[in-house]
Amino acid sequence: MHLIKFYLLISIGFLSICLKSDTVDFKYEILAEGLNRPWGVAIVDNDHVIFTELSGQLRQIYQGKLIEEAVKGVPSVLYKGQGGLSGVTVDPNFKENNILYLAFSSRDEGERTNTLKVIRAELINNSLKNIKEIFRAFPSRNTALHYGGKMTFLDDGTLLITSGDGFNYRESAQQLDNHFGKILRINTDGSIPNDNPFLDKSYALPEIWSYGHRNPQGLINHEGVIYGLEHGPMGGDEINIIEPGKNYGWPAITYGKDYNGSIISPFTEMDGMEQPIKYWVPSIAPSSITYYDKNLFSEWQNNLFVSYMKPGGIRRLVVEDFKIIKEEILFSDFSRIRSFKVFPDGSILLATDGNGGEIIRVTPNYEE
Amino acid sequence: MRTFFDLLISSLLVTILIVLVNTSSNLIWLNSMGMPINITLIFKSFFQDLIGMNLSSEIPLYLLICFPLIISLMVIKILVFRGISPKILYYSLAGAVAILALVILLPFAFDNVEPIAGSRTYMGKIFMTLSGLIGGYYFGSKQVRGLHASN
Repeated sequence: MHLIKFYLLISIGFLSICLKSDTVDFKYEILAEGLNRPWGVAIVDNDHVIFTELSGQLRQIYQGKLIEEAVKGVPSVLYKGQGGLSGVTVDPNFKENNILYLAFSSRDEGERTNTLKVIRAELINNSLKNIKEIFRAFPSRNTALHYGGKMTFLDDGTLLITSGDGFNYRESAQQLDNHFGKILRINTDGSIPNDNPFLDKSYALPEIWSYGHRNPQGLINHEGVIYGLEHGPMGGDEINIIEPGKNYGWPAITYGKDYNGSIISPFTEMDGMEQPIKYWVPSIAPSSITYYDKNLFSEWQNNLFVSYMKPGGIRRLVVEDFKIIKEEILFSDFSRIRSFKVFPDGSILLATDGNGGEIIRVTPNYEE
Repeated sequence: MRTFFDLLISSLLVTILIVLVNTSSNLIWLNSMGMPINITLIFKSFFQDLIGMNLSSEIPLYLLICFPLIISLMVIKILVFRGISPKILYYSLAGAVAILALVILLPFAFDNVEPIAGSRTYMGKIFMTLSGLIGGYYFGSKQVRGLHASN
Protein backbone atom coordinates (compact mmCIF):
# COMPACT_ATOMS: atom_id res chain seq x y z
CA MET A 1 0.00 0.00 0.00
CA HIS A 2 2.81 2.37 0.92
CA LEU A 3 4.56 1.48 -2.30
CA ILE A 4 1.44 2.44 -4.33
CA LYS A 5 1.20 5.77 -2.47
CA PHE A 6 4.88 6.39 -3.14
CA TYR A 7 4.46 5.75 -6.88
CA LEU A 8 1.34 7.92 -6.96
CA LEU A 9 3.17 10.83 -5.32
CA ILE A 10 6.12 10.46 -7.70
CA SER A 11 3.73 10.37 -10.69
CA ILE A 12 1.80 13.46 -9.56
CA GLY A 13 5.06 15.32 -8.95
CA PHE A 14 6.38 14.40 -12.40
CA LEU A 15 3.10 15.41 -14.03
CA SER A 16 3.04 18.79 -12.33
CA ILE A 17 6.62 19.47 -13.49
CA CYS A 18 5.62 18.59 -17.07
CA LEU A 19 2.57 20.88 -16.96
CA LYS A 20 4.53 23.71 -15.38
CA SER A 21 7.09 23.63 -18.17
CA ASP A 22 4.38 24.53 -20.66
CA THR A 23 2.48 26.95 -18.45
CA VAL A 24 2.80 30.69 -18.74
CA ASP A 25 1.19 33.02 -16.20
CA PHE A 26 -0.71 35.94 -17.62
CA LYS A 27 -1.92 39.40 -16.77
CA TYR A 28 -5.13 40.56 -18.44
CA GLU A 29 -6.03 44.14 -19.25
CA ILE A 30 -9.50 44.79 -20.64
CA LEU A 31 -9.13 47.47 -23.32
CA ALA A 32 -12.79 47.55 -24.35
CA GLU A 33 -15.96 45.82 -23.19
CA GLY A 34 -19.67 45.69 -23.93
CA LEU A 35 -18.94 45.50 -27.64
CA ASN A 36 -21.39 44.45 -30.31
CA ARG A 37 -19.84 41.31 -31.81
CA PRO A 38 -16.18 42.34 -32.28
CA TRP A 39 -14.89 40.57 -35.39
CA GLY A 40 -11.85 41.84 -37.32
CA VAL A 41 -8.86 43.43 -35.62
CA ALA A 42 -5.90 45.36 -37.04
CA ILE A 43 -3.00 46.39 -34.82
CA VAL A 44 -1.29 49.58 -35.95
CA ASP A 45 1.25 49.77 -33.11
CA ASN A 46 1.47 49.08 -29.38
CA ASP A 47 -0.88 52.00 -28.67
CA HIS A 48 -3.32 51.80 -31.54
CA VAL A 49 -5.86 49.11 -32.39
CA ILE A 50 -8.59 49.31 -35.01
CA PHE A 51 -11.40 46.78 -34.92
CA THR A 52 -14.79 46.08 -36.42
CA GLU A 53 -18.06 45.22 -34.77
CA LEU A 54 -20.09 42.96 -37.03
CA SER A 55 -23.10 45.22 -36.58
CA GLY A 56 -21.35 47.86 -38.68
CA GLN A 57 -19.16 50.00 -36.42
CA LEU A 58 -15.46 50.59 -36.90
CA ARG A 59 -13.84 51.36 -33.55
CA GLN A 60 -10.43 52.46 -32.31
CA ILE A 61 -8.49 51.88 -29.13
CA TYR A 62 -5.81 54.44 -28.51
CA GLN A 63 -3.29 54.26 -25.67
CA GLY A 64 -5.32 51.60 -23.92
CA LYS A 65 -8.64 53.47 -24.09
CA LEU A 66 -11.60 52.84 -26.37
CA ILE A 67 -12.56 55.93 -28.37
CA GLU A 68 -16.24 56.16 -27.47
CA GLU A 69 -17.38 57.43 -30.84
CA ALA A 70 -17.31 54.93 -33.71
CA VAL A 71 -15.43 55.92 -36.85
CA LYS A 72 -17.67 58.03 -39.09
CA GLY A 73 -18.25 57.45 -42.77
CA VAL A 74 -18.32 53.63 -42.73
CA PRO A 75 -20.62 52.40 -45.54
CA SER A 76 -23.85 50.76 -44.44
CA VAL A 77 -23.52 46.99 -44.17
CA LEU A 78 -25.93 44.08 -44.26
CA TYR A 79 -25.92 42.95 -40.64
CA LYS A 80 -27.57 39.54 -40.76
CA GLY A 81 -26.49 35.99 -39.96
CA GLN A 82 -22.70 35.99 -40.32
CA GLY A 83 -22.87 39.14 -42.44
CA GLY A 84 -21.79 42.57 -41.36
CA LEU A 85 -18.62 44.62 -41.06
CA SER A 86 -16.13 41.78 -40.80
CA GLY A 87 -12.57 42.28 -41.99
CA VAL A 88 -10.18 45.16 -41.39
CA THR A 89 -6.55 45.48 -42.30
CA VAL A 90 -4.25 48.47 -42.44
CA ASP A 91 -2.01 49.37 -45.33
CA PRO A 92 1.66 48.40 -44.83
CA ASN A 93 2.35 52.19 -45.02
CA PHE A 94 -0.55 53.15 -42.76
CA LYS A 95 1.59 55.48 -40.63
CA GLU A 96 2.29 57.58 -43.70
CA ASN A 97 -0.93 57.25 -45.72
CA ASN A 98 -3.64 56.36 -43.11
CA ILE A 99 -5.15 53.89 -45.57
CA LEU A 100 -7.13 50.89 -44.38
CA TYR A 101 -9.24 48.20 -46.02
CA LEU A 102 -12.63 46.96 -44.88
CA ALA A 103 -14.49 43.82 -45.93
CA PHE A 104 -18.24 43.65 -45.36
CA SER A 105 -21.48 42.20 -46.63
CA SER A 106 -23.65 44.60 -48.55
CA ARG A 107 -27.22 44.30 -49.80
CA ASP A 108 -27.61 44.78 -53.55
CA GLU A 109 -29.60 47.91 -54.27
CA GLY A 110 -33.27 47.12 -54.87
CA GLU A 111 -32.63 43.38 -54.66
CA ARG A 112 -32.98 40.67 -52.02
CA THR A 113 -29.46 39.47 -52.72
CA ASN A 114 -26.20 40.57 -51.14
CA THR A 115 -22.49 40.21 -51.65
CA LEU A 116 -19.04 40.65 -50.12
CA LYS A 117 -17.39 44.00 -50.78
CA VAL A 118 -13.98 45.43 -49.96
CA ILE A 119 -13.33 49.14 -49.74
CA ARG A 120 -10.20 51.19 -49.30
CA ALA A 121 -10.36 54.45 -47.34
CA GLU A 122 -8.26 56.95 -45.47
CA LEU A 123 -8.77 57.18 -41.71
CA ILE A 124 -8.52 60.84 -40.79
CA ASN A 125 -9.69 62.25 -37.45
CA ASN A 126 -11.89 59.25 -36.63
CA SER A 127 -13.58 59.49 -40.00
CA LEU A 128 -13.25 57.60 -43.30
CA LYS A 129 -12.40 59.74 -46.32
CA ASN A 130 -11.76 59.01 -50.00
CA ILE A 131 -13.65 55.72 -49.90
CA LYS A 132 -13.19 53.54 -52.96
CA GLU A 133 -14.77 50.13 -53.62
CA ILE A 134 -11.94 47.89 -54.78
CA PHE A 135 -13.65 44.49 -54.82
CA ARG A 136 -17.15 43.12 -55.13
CA ALA A 137 -17.75 39.35 -55.10
CA PHE A 138 -19.55 37.89 -58.09
CA PRO A 139 -22.22 36.64 -58.27
CA SER A 140 -24.42 37.84 -55.42
CA ARG A 141 -26.06 35.36 -53.05
CA ASN A 142 -29.32 35.08 -51.13
CA THR A 143 -27.75 33.69 -47.96
CA ALA A 144 -26.06 35.58 -45.14
CA LEU A 145 -23.42 32.98 -44.28
CA HIS A 146 -19.83 32.14 -45.23
CA TYR A 147 -18.46 35.46 -46.45
CA GLY A 148 -14.80 34.98 -45.60
CA GLY A 149 -13.74 38.61 -45.55
CA LYS A 150 -10.23 38.16 -44.14
CA MET A 151 -7.33 40.00 -45.80
CA THR A 152 -3.57 40.05 -45.78
CA PHE A 153 -0.82 41.61 -47.86
CA LEU A 154 1.70 39.74 -49.94
CA ASP A 155 5.29 40.92 -49.86
CA ASP A 156 4.79 42.58 -53.27
CA GLY A 157 2.11 44.86 -51.83
CA THR A 158 -0.87 43.11 -53.42
CA LEU A 159 -3.89 42.28 -51.27
CA LEU A 160 -5.29 38.81 -50.66
CA ILE A 161 -8.99 38.53 -49.77
CA THR A 162 -10.89 35.43 -48.65
CA SER A 163 -14.34 34.83 -50.08
CA GLY A 164 -16.57 32.10 -48.61
CA ASP A 165 -18.83 29.67 -50.44
CA GLY A 166 -22.10 31.29 -49.36
CA PHE A 167 -23.20 27.93 -47.82
CA ASN A 168 -25.77 27.10 -50.50
CA TYR A 169 -23.23 27.45 -53.31
CA ARG A 170 -20.54 25.03 -52.15
CA GLU A 171 -20.06 23.32 -55.54
CA SER A 172 -19.21 26.73 -57.03
CA ALA A 173 -15.96 26.64 -55.04
CA GLN A 174 -14.69 24.20 -57.69
CA GLN A 175 -15.60 26.47 -60.63
CA LEU A 176 -13.45 29.40 -61.66
CA ASP A 177 -16.24 31.56 -63.10
CA ASN A 178 -17.30 32.92 -59.70
CA HIS A 179 -15.85 34.17 -56.40
CA PHE A 180 -17.49 31.60 -54.10
CA GLY A 181 -14.92 29.67 -52.04
CA LYS A 182 -11.88 31.50 -53.36
CA ILE A 183 -8.87 33.44 -52.20
CA LEU A 184 -8.48 36.48 -54.41
CA ARG A 185 -5.56 38.74 -55.16
CA ILE A 186 -5.90 42.34 -56.27
CA ASN A 187 -3.83 45.50 -56.30
CA THR A 188 -4.74 48.01 -53.61
CA ASP A 189 -6.50 50.20 -56.19
CA GLY A 190 -8.74 47.27 -57.21
CA SER A 191 -6.92 46.46 -60.44
CA ILE A 192 -5.74 42.95 -61.27
CA PRO A 193 -2.06 42.02 -60.85
CA ASN A 194 -0.68 40.89 -64.21
CA ASP A 195 0.74 37.64 -62.77
CA ASN A 196 -2.41 36.17 -61.23
CA PRO A 197 -2.54 32.41 -61.88
CA PHE A 198 -5.67 32.11 -64.03
CA LEU A 199 -5.31 35.11 -66.34
CA ASP A 200 -4.74 32.84 -69.32
CA LYS A 201 -8.05 31.01 -68.76
CA SER A 202 -10.82 32.89 -70.54
CA TYR A 203 -13.53 31.31 -68.35
CA ALA A 204 -11.83 32.18 -65.06
CA LEU A 205 -12.32 35.36 -63.06
CA PRO A 206 -9.00 37.22 -63.04
CA GLU A 207 -8.87 37.91 -59.28
CA ILE A 208 -8.72 34.21 -58.35
CA TRP A 209 -5.52 33.19 -56.53
CA SER A 210 -6.61 29.81 -55.16
CA TYR A 211 -9.89 27.89 -55.03
CA GLY A 212 -11.74 25.03 -53.36
CA HIS A 213 -12.24 26.86 -50.04
CA ARG A 214 -15.28 26.78 -47.78
CA ASN A 215 -15.27 29.69 -45.36
CA PRO A 216 -11.71 30.94 -44.86
CA GLN A 217 -11.63 32.74 -41.52
CA GLY A 218 -7.92 33.42 -41.31
CA LEU A 219 -5.17 34.42 -43.68
CA ILE A 220 -1.65 35.46 -42.73
CA ASN A 221 1.60 36.04 -44.51
CA HIS A 222 4.61 34.94 -42.49
CA GLU A 223 7.84 35.53 -44.37
CA GLY A 224 6.16 34.78 -47.68
CA VAL A 225 4.34 31.65 -46.47
CA ILE A 226 0.58 32.13 -46.61
CA TYR A 227 -1.37 30.25 -43.96
CA GLY A 228 -5.09 29.93 -44.57
CA LEU A 229 -7.54 28.92 -41.86
CA GLU A 230 -10.67 27.21 -43.03
CA HIS A 231 -13.85 26.98 -41.02
CA GLY A 232 -15.08 23.51 -41.94
CA PRO A 233 -18.53 21.91 -41.79
CA MET A 234 -19.29 19.40 -38.99
CA GLY A 235 -15.64 18.49 -38.57
CA GLY A 236 -12.99 19.32 -41.13
CA ASP A 237 -11.64 22.69 -39.98
CA GLU A 238 -8.29 23.11 -41.71
CA ILE A 239 -5.03 24.99 -41.87
CA ASN A 240 -3.63 25.14 -45.39
CA ILE A 241 -0.50 26.56 -46.93
CA ILE A 242 -1.94 28.70 -49.71
CA GLU A 243 -0.16 28.78 -53.03
CA PRO A 244 -1.27 30.45 -56.25
CA GLY A 245 -3.36 28.40 -58.65
CA LYS A 246 -3.87 25.52 -56.22
CA ASN A 247 -7.14 23.73 -55.52
CA TYR A 248 -7.88 23.07 -51.83
CA GLY A 249 -10.59 20.57 -52.59
CA TRP A 250 -13.81 21.80 -50.99
CA PRO A 251 -16.36 20.23 -51.33
CA ALA A 252 -14.94 17.40 -53.47
CA ILE A 253 -12.65 16.34 -50.63
CA THR A 254 -13.25 17.12 -46.98
CA TYR A 255 -12.76 15.68 -43.51
CA GLY A 256 -16.13 17.04 -42.43
CA LYS A 257 -19.79 16.10 -42.72
CA ASP A 258 -22.80 18.22 -43.53
CA TYR A 259 -24.68 19.75 -40.58
CA ASN A 260 -27.66 17.56 -41.53
CA GLY A 261 -25.49 14.51 -40.83
CA SER A 262 -25.04 13.48 -44.46
CA ILE A 263 -21.79 12.95 -46.29
CA ILE A 264 -20.53 15.90 -48.31
CA SER A 265 -17.93 13.77 -49.99
CA PRO A 266 -16.67 10.27 -49.19
CA PHE A 267 -13.22 11.43 -50.33
CA THR A 268 -10.56 13.07 -48.19
CA GLU A 269 -7.83 13.27 -50.81
CA MET A 270 -7.47 13.42 -54.57
CA ASP A 271 -4.74 14.13 -57.09
CA GLY A 272 -4.59 17.81 -57.93
CA MET A 273 -6.16 18.83 -54.62
CA GLU A 274 -4.11 20.07 -51.68
CA GLN A 275 -4.04 18.51 -48.23
CA PRO A 276 -4.23 20.64 -45.08
CA ILE A 277 -1.24 20.70 -42.73
CA LYS A 278 -3.73 20.35 -39.91
CA TYR A 279 -7.41 19.47 -39.58
CA TRP A 280 -9.78 19.11 -36.67
CA VAL A 281 -12.51 16.50 -36.29
CA PRO A 282 -14.75 17.27 -34.45
CA SER A 283 -14.87 20.92 -35.38
CA ILE A 284 -13.42 23.61 -33.12
CA ALA A 285 -14.97 26.49 -35.13
CA PRO A 286 -11.73 28.40 -35.77
CA SER A 287 -11.94 32.16 -36.14
CA SER A 288 -8.44 33.57 -36.70
CA ILE A 289 -4.83 32.55 -37.17
CA THR A 290 -1.61 34.31 -36.13
CA TYR A 291 2.09 33.54 -36.21
CA TYR A 292 3.93 34.49 -33.03
CA ASP A 293 7.46 35.68 -33.79
CA LYS A 294 8.11 37.95 -30.79
CA ASN A 295 10.19 37.47 -27.63
CA LEU A 296 7.75 38.47 -24.88
CA PHE A 297 6.34 34.95 -24.56
CA SER A 298 9.63 33.30 -25.44
CA GLU A 299 8.18 29.79 -25.04
CA TRP A 300 5.78 30.51 -27.87
CA GLN A 301 8.21 31.92 -30.38
CA ASN A 302 7.62 30.71 -33.95
CA ASN A 303 4.35 29.00 -33.06
CA LEU A 304 1.06 29.29 -34.87
CA PHE A 305 -2.00 30.35 -32.87
CA VAL A 306 -5.59 29.66 -33.80
CA SER A 307 -8.49 31.21 -31.95
CA TYR A 308 -11.65 29.14 -31.86
CA MET A 309 -15.22 29.21 -30.64
CA LYS A 310 -16.20 25.63 -29.88
CA PRO A 311 -16.10 25.74 -26.91
CA GLY A 312 -13.71 28.68 -27.01
CA GLY A 313 -9.99 29.21 -26.54
CA ILE A 314 -6.68 29.32 -28.33
CA ARG A 315 -4.74 26.46 -29.87
CA ARG A 316 -0.97 26.86 -29.80
CA LEU A 317 0.56 24.86 -32.61
CA VAL A 318 4.23 24.02 -32.86
CA VAL A 319 5.21 23.90 -36.52
CA GLU A 320 8.19 22.04 -37.90
CA ASP A 321 8.78 21.72 -41.66
CA PHE A 322 5.20 22.82 -42.28
CA LYS A 323 3.87 20.03 -40.06
CA ILE A 324 2.09 20.51 -36.75
CA ILE A 325 4.05 18.47 -34.23
CA LYS A 326 2.43 19.67 -31.01
CA GLU A 327 -0.83 21.28 -29.97
CA GLU A 328 -1.74 22.98 -26.69
CA ILE A 329 -5.02 24.50 -25.53
CA LEU A 330 -4.75 27.95 -23.95
CA PHE A 331 -7.21 30.52 -22.61
CA SER A 332 -9.97 27.93 -22.39
CA ASP A 333 -11.44 29.81 -19.42
CA PHE A 334 -12.60 32.46 -21.89
CA SER A 335 -15.73 31.92 -23.92
CA ARG A 336 -15.68 31.99 -27.73
CA ILE A 337 -12.65 33.88 -29.01
CA ARG A 338 -13.17 35.68 -32.30
CA SER A 339 -9.72 37.10 -32.87
CA PHE A 340 -6.15 36.65 -31.70
CA LYS A 341 -3.51 39.22 -32.66
CA VAL A 342 0.01 40.06 -31.58
CA PHE A 343 1.21 43.57 -30.67
CA PRO A 344 4.66 44.66 -31.89
CA ASP A 345 5.92 44.37 -28.28
CA GLY A 346 4.85 40.71 -28.20
CA SER A 347 1.81 41.12 -25.97
CA ILE A 348 -1.38 39.48 -27.17
CA LEU A 349 -4.82 40.75 -28.06
CA LEU A 350 -7.88 38.57 -27.61
CA ALA A 351 -11.32 39.56 -28.87
CA THR A 352 -14.16 37.60 -27.32
CA ASP A 353 -17.19 36.88 -29.48
CA GLY A 354 -20.80 37.93 -29.20
CA ASN A 355 -22.77 40.81 -27.75
CA GLY A 356 -20.86 42.12 -24.78
CA GLY A 357 -17.60 41.08 -26.41
CA GLU A 358 -14.31 42.30 -25.00
CA ILE A 359 -10.91 43.28 -26.31
CA ILE A 360 -8.26 42.04 -23.89
CA ARG A 361 -4.52 42.58 -23.81
CA VAL A 362 -2.49 39.71 -22.38
CA THR A 363 1.04 40.09 -21.02
CA PRO A 364 3.22 37.70 -19.01
CA ASN A 365 2.89 37.88 -15.24
CA TYR A 366 6.37 38.24 -13.79
CA GLU A 367 5.21 38.86 -10.21
CA GLU A 368 5.33 35.21 -9.11
CA MET B 1 -53.77 1.98 -34.55
CA ARG B 2 -53.44 0.61 -38.06
CA THR B 3 -53.60 4.15 -39.49
CA PHE B 4 -50.93 5.36 -37.10
CA PHE B 5 -48.67 2.48 -38.07
CA ASP B 6 -49.25 3.22 -41.77
CA LEU B 7 -48.38 6.88 -41.20
CA LEU B 8 -45.07 5.91 -39.59
CA ILE B 9 -44.25 3.47 -42.38
CA SER B 10 -45.19 6.06 -44.99
CA SER B 11 -42.91 8.66 -43.31
CA LEU B 12 -40.11 6.09 -43.17
CA LEU B 13 -40.54 5.38 -46.87
CA VAL B 14 -40.38 9.09 -47.72
CA THR B 15 -37.32 9.52 -45.48
CA ILE B 16 -35.51 6.71 -47.28
CA LEU B 17 -36.39 8.16 -50.69
CA ILE B 18 -35.31 11.69 -49.70
CA VAL B 19 -31.99 10.37 -48.38
CA LEU B 20 -31.61 8.56 -51.69
CA VAL B 21 -32.18 11.82 -53.59
CA ASN B 22 -29.73 13.64 -51.31
CA THR B 23 -27.01 11.00 -51.68
CA SER B 24 -27.55 10.70 -55.43
CA SER B 25 -27.32 14.44 -56.06
CA ASN B 26 -24.04 14.54 -54.12
CA LEU B 27 -22.53 11.55 -55.88
CA ILE B 28 -23.67 12.69 -59.34
CA TRP B 29 -21.86 16.01 -58.78
CA LEU B 30 -18.74 14.26 -57.48
CA ASN B 31 -18.81 11.97 -60.51
CA SER B 32 -19.03 15.02 -62.78
CA MET B 33 -15.86 16.26 -61.07
CA GLY B 34 -14.07 13.08 -62.09
CA MET B 35 -14.17 11.46 -58.65
CA PRO B 36 -14.22 7.65 -58.80
CA ILE B 37 -17.76 6.64 -57.84
CA ASN B 38 -18.50 2.92 -57.82
CA ILE B 39 -21.42 0.77 -56.72
CA THR B 40 -19.91 -0.03 -53.32
CA LEU B 41 -19.42 3.67 -52.62
CA ILE B 42 -23.02 4.40 -53.65
CA PHE B 43 -24.42 1.86 -51.15
CA LYS B 44 -21.97 2.87 -48.44
CA SER B 45 -22.77 6.57 -48.87
CA PHE B 46 -26.51 5.91 -48.91
CA PHE B 47 -26.46 3.92 -45.67
CA GLN B 48 -24.12 6.40 -44.00
CA ASP B 49 -26.48 9.23 -45.00
CA LEU B 50 -29.51 7.31 -43.82
CA ILE B 51 -27.94 6.89 -40.39
CA GLY B 52 -26.25 10.29 -40.32
CA MET B 53 -29.29 12.34 -41.33
CA ASN B 54 -31.38 10.63 -38.67
CA LEU B 55 -28.94 10.18 -35.81
CA SER B 56 -26.19 12.83 -36.24
CA SER B 57 -28.38 15.74 -37.27
CA GLU B 58 -29.77 18.14 -34.67
CA ILE B 59 -33.24 17.52 -36.10
CA PRO B 60 -33.57 13.94 -37.35
CA LEU B 61 -34.81 13.91 -40.94
CA TYR B 62 -37.46 11.35 -40.07
CA LEU B 63 -39.06 13.72 -37.55
CA LEU B 64 -38.77 16.61 -39.99
CA ILE B 65 -40.69 14.60 -42.57
CA CYS B 66 -43.22 13.06 -40.18
CA PHE B 67 -44.57 16.43 -39.12
CA PRO B 68 -45.86 17.86 -42.45
CA LEU B 69 -46.59 14.45 -43.95
CA ILE B 70 -48.76 13.26 -41.07
CA ILE B 71 -50.68 16.56 -40.97
CA SER B 72 -51.25 16.47 -44.70
CA LEU B 73 -52.35 12.84 -44.84
CA MET B 74 -54.57 13.19 -41.78
CA VAL B 75 -56.38 16.14 -43.39
CA ILE B 76 -57.35 13.82 -46.25
CA LYS B 77 -58.25 11.09 -43.77
CA ILE B 78 -60.56 13.47 -41.90
CA LEU B 79 -62.23 14.44 -45.17
CA VAL B 80 -63.06 10.76 -45.60
CA PHE B 81 -65.00 10.78 -42.35
CA ARG B 82 -66.89 13.80 -43.65
CA GLY B 83 -68.21 11.68 -46.48
CA ILE B 84 -65.86 12.68 -49.23
CA SER B 85 -64.96 9.67 -51.32
CA PRO B 86 -61.33 8.78 -50.71
CA LYS B 87 -59.04 8.18 -53.65
CA ILE B 88 -55.45 7.15 -53.62
CA LEU B 89 -54.73 10.16 -55.81
CA TYR B 90 -55.76 12.56 -53.01
CA TYR B 91 -53.38 10.93 -50.57
CA SER B 92 -50.62 10.92 -53.17
CA LEU B 93 -51.09 14.62 -53.86
CA ALA B 94 -51.24 15.36 -50.14
CA GLY B 95 -47.91 13.60 -49.65
CA ALA B 96 -46.38 15.52 -52.55
CA VAL B 97 -47.69 18.88 -51.28
CA ALA B 98 -46.40 18.16 -47.77
CA ILE B 99 -42.85 17.53 -48.96
CA LEU B 100 -42.92 20.35 -51.51
CA ALA B 101 -44.00 22.70 -48.73
CA LEU B 102 -41.24 21.34 -46.50
CA VAL B 103 -38.42 21.88 -49.01
CA ILE B 104 -39.72 25.31 -50.02
CA LEU B 105 -40.49 26.62 -46.54
CA LEU B 106 -37.55 25.12 -44.64
CA PRO B 107 -35.00 27.65 -46.00
CA PHE B 108 -37.20 30.51 -44.72
CA ALA B 109 -36.67 29.18 -41.21
CA PHE B 110 -32.91 29.19 -41.72
CA ASP B 111 -32.25 32.55 -43.46
CA ASN B 112 -32.42 31.02 -46.96
CA VAL B 113 -29.99 28.25 -46.06
CA GLU B 114 -31.04 24.88 -47.49
CA PRO B 115 -30.61 22.38 -44.65
CA ILE B 116 -31.21 19.43 -47.00
CA ALA B 117 -28.41 19.89 -49.53
CA GLY B 118 -30.12 17.72 -52.14
CA SER B 119 -33.06 20.12 -52.34
CA ARG B 120 -30.99 23.11 -53.51
CA THR B 121 -31.72 22.44 -57.18
CA TYR B 122 -35.08 22.34 -58.98
CA MET B 123 -34.42 18.69 -59.87
CA GLY B 124 -33.75 17.93 -56.22
CA LYS B 125 -37.01 19.60 -55.19
CA ILE B 126 -38.93 17.72 -57.90
CA PHE B 127 -37.53 14.32 -56.86
CA MET B 128 -38.18 15.01 -53.19
CA THR B 129 -41.75 16.02 -54.03
CA LEU B 130 -42.09 12.75 -55.94
CA SER B 131 -40.87 10.98 -52.81
CA GLY B 132 -43.74 12.59 -50.92
CA LEU B 133 -46.11 11.48 -53.68
CA ILE B 134 -44.95 7.87 -53.33
CA GLY B 135 -45.29 8.05 -49.54
CA GLY B 136 -48.81 9.42 -49.92
CA TYR B 137 -49.64 6.74 -52.47
CA TYR B 138 -48.49 4.03 -50.06
CA PHE B 139 -50.59 5.43 -47.24
CA GLY B 140 -53.59 5.97 -49.53
CA SER B 141 -53.45 2.45 -50.92
CA LYS B 142 -53.47 1.05 -47.37
CA GLN B 143 -56.40 3.26 -46.37
CA VAL B 144 -58.50 2.56 -49.44
CA ARG B 145 -57.80 -1.17 -49.22
CA GLY B 146 -58.76 -1.12 -45.53
CA LEU B 147 -61.97 0.76 -46.33
CA HIS B 148 -62.95 -1.73 -49.03
CA ALA B 149 -62.17 -4.63 -46.69
CA SER B 150 -64.41 -3.18 -43.95
CA ASN B 151 -67.24 -2.67 -46.49
